[in-house]
Amino acid sequence: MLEVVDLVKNYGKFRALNDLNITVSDGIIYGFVGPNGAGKTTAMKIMSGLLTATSGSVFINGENVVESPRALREKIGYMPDFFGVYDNLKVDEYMDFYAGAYYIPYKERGDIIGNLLELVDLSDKRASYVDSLSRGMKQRLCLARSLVHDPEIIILDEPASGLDPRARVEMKETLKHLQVLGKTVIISSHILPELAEMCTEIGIINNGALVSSGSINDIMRAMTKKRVIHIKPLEGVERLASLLSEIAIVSDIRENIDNVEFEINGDDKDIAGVTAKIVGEGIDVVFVKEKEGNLEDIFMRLTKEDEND
Amino acid sequence: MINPVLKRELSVSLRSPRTFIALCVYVILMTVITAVAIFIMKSNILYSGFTPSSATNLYVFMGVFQLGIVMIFTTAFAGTAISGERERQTLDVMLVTKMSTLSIVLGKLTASLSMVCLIIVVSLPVFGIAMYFGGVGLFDVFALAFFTLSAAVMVGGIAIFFSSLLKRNVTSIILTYIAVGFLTIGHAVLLLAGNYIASVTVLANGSDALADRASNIFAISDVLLSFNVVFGLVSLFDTLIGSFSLQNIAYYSTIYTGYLRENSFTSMVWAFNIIFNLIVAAVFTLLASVVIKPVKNSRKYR
Repeated sequence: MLEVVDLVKNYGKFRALNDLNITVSDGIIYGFVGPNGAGKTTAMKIMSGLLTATSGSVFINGENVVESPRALREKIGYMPDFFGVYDNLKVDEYMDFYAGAYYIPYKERGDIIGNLLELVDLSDKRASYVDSLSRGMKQRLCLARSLVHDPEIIILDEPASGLDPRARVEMKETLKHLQVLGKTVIISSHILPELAEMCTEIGIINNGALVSSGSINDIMRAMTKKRVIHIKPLEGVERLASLLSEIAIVSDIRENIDNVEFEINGDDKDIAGVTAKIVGEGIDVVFVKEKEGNLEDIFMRLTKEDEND
Repeated sequence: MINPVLKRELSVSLRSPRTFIALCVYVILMTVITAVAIFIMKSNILYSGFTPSSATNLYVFMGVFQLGIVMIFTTAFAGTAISGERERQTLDVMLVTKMSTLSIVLGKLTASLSMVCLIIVVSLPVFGIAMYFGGVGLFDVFALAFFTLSAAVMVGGIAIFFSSLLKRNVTSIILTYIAVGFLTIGHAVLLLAGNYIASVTVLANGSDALADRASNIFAISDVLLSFNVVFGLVSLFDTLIGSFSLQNIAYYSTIYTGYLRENSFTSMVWAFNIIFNLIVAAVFTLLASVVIKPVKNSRKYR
């Protein structure tokens, strides 16, 4: 588990991080969202041991890694938002260089590099020069590089920036695969719908502080307090709407073509109660579905609220 | 295990045809300059055959030329070593690995110096021309090569420090040239000018007390001049070919004022100079590793 506790970073008089607190559980994909200049990259660089914090701590499984940068480097794999590659270096030489930089024994490197290149789908490019790869391939190669020492946590700063849709999908698939392998992934991105699709939890940062954190639905619930439910009856949309209007905790009922959308001020038990009442009135229900929160809506509302404050 | 940075740098630079072409151009240039020097010596009206003395002059000329070239090349290689990684946006990725910053800096420095070593080694046959005419032995050639390498190590250390400190290659190279220029020419000019002023002052006042103080100034000046690479090279030539150039420099620094100073240069200025070069390189390399360290100290925040 990674815990960032009261992290502060000042650049002269400017405070880039303002008592930032984040908790990331093991094996999840944690999306780090925030407007430009919110402090995402600064926080990620401190977590990766590339920047000294003014104050605060970063714990990995209870160990304060700020006090032992060497331990941090073993546990963290980092991919920066901008990175370059070396001319005249082949893909396997590039990987071998970083394997050497992590002091991985020479005998073990071949297998590790082979497996990682397979993971990022670059096995057939092993003998190609790095500077001849497309941007998407370079991004995937850099991801493989960040995994060469088998870190517990992978920090990816805008890994999908500048990628075409196909490369973004490939990157997303690779990240999901990493989650299956038990890695904890912390990722920042401006492409919110994609982040929403792959992240288990998100943290929204603004002005150097965490504005909200949790699953998208949890954040949505916390923000709206009411939950939006869709019920599709086998038939009788109007009758269903009429029935719902009689229930006190239900509001904002909207009739759609084949379903009814409404807001409910209650918990899971209340939703179950409403569903039972509908079924009890003889309406056949095809599905009951809670409308999922939209990350873009949440992001805009939270960052706007913060600006207004 | 070979330093990963050095291994990568060597495999990349030696693969590039640019390295081969640059070395060829350097050897051809050295050969042409040597041929021209021989031609000029032979064209002299007072020429009485290309004697061992002429070969010694040629060796000195080539040694000075090579030292200059090596210092320029080392600055160009080491002066962009770390700032180049920064400009290429590859430094951060290297800093998050388990390699220490000292290891990274040493890898970059040795890679830069390996190119300089190549330059020195490929030029050895050209120095063989001077050996062929006599007056210069194998030991002289290798001693000069070793001294040149020690100077390159010092320049490399300074260059890599500026390269670590500054973000841009250009500023790093310019500052290194200024620093090396001061350590070679500026510092000697200042000290020799100090000698001149001290001798003029003593002669103008004629007091014994001032003469004593001037002697102290000359002695300190000689010690400080022993740090100078140019003086080290001159001392090496004095030792190898039996000339007295160092004493002459001290003598002529005050002779025009009419003041005859004693000089305290030892015959081992060159050895002293080599040690000084290596110490300077070590200090600046360590400083460079501290400068690029992303998290300065393991410390508790709060």
